[in-house]
Amino acid sequence: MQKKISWIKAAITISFHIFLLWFLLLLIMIFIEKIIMQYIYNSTLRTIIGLFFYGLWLYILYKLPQRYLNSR
Amino acid sequence: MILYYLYIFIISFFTTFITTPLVIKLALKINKTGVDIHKPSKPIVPSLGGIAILIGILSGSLSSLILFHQYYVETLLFLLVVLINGIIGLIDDFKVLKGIVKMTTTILSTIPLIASSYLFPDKIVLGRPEVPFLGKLRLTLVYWALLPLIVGGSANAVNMLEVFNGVMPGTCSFIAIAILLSSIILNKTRSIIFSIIMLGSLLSYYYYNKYPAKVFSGDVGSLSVGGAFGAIAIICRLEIVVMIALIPHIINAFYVISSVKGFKERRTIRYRPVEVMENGLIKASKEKDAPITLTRIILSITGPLEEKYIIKTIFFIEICTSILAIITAFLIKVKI
Repeated sequence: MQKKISWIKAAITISFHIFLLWFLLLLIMIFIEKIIMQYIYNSTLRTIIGLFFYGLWLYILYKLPQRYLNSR
Repeated sequence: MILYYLYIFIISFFTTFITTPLVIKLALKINKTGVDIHKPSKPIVPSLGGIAILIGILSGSLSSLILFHQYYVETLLFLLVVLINGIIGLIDDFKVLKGIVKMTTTILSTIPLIASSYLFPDKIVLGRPEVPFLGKLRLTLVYWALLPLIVGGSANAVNMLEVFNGVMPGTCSFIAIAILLSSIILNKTRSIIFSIIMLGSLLSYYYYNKYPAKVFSGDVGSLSVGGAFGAIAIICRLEIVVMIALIPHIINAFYVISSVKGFKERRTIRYRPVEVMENGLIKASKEKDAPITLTRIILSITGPLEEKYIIKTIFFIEICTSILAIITAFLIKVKI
């Protein structure tokens, strides 16, 4: 029983993180398309801002497992 | 129409189901076997099971060429990408390729897709992915930079998560179901056909590969299945849906590449991410330099687990991700 709770807990924890990443990706896409593309006309600046936000998403993805690995 | 879909499913299902025992016999005859390292008894298991998946996809595709001949360009292209990746996987099974060589060669399978977008511009449209709320994006530069990674990346990502019995056909079956339902929502006939071909082949192969496995897929299986998903994403303009469905595989690949600092063949990595204890339980490695994988993260949360519970955890995560992919398909229809 303990084992069953344990794997379900891990599955829900990781799935929740994936949900957050998915939600954040949608927000970034909408923000870039509806705000950056609408109000910023300089293409270089658009690219830099776009790369910054997608880079930030990747950084969050990279940092996510560290807390679990460090806890053991 | 529904009857045609059923025919394709039955053909790919039974072709793989019948050919897998033959492939097992062939693998034993030519001594192409592997050790199931996650079991205390370390049993010897025949490899190359992926050939049966490849034959199943081939037969399903050929039957769809007859039943849906109007999509012959897309079907032949899909088949070509799958075969290229399958051949690369087969070469890798016999003569181990370096990680970077494998990645580069799988990227080459994008060439037919690019060529066909010039030869058949009305059938293959590149650079217009459909995303939630925003509709079709016009990505002129970024898409072409990411295009090689869609096929090569997904093929290698699926290959990297093929770590336990039944994980590859199991998770990929959920992805095929997610693509199938998303295609129904978005009314895309081509991807319905391709996902049915994949589903038929993978479900029957799962019967042999499930815990405890009677056969291993080898790279021929995982690379061709991953390449097939990449091809579906590009040909059917389902890039974002397939990418969401593949998140567990992408996350796993991203962690491995970032932790070992580059594309390295798994057999050349010094430390293993997990260790098998004497009582058969599997625990996360405490070595700092061991690669970070999805399994190691799961075991860091739970502590030592039996193999079957790790498989269940990965399946649960994949089911959740597939649901997210289906929600994404719904959101593509919503415009703001």
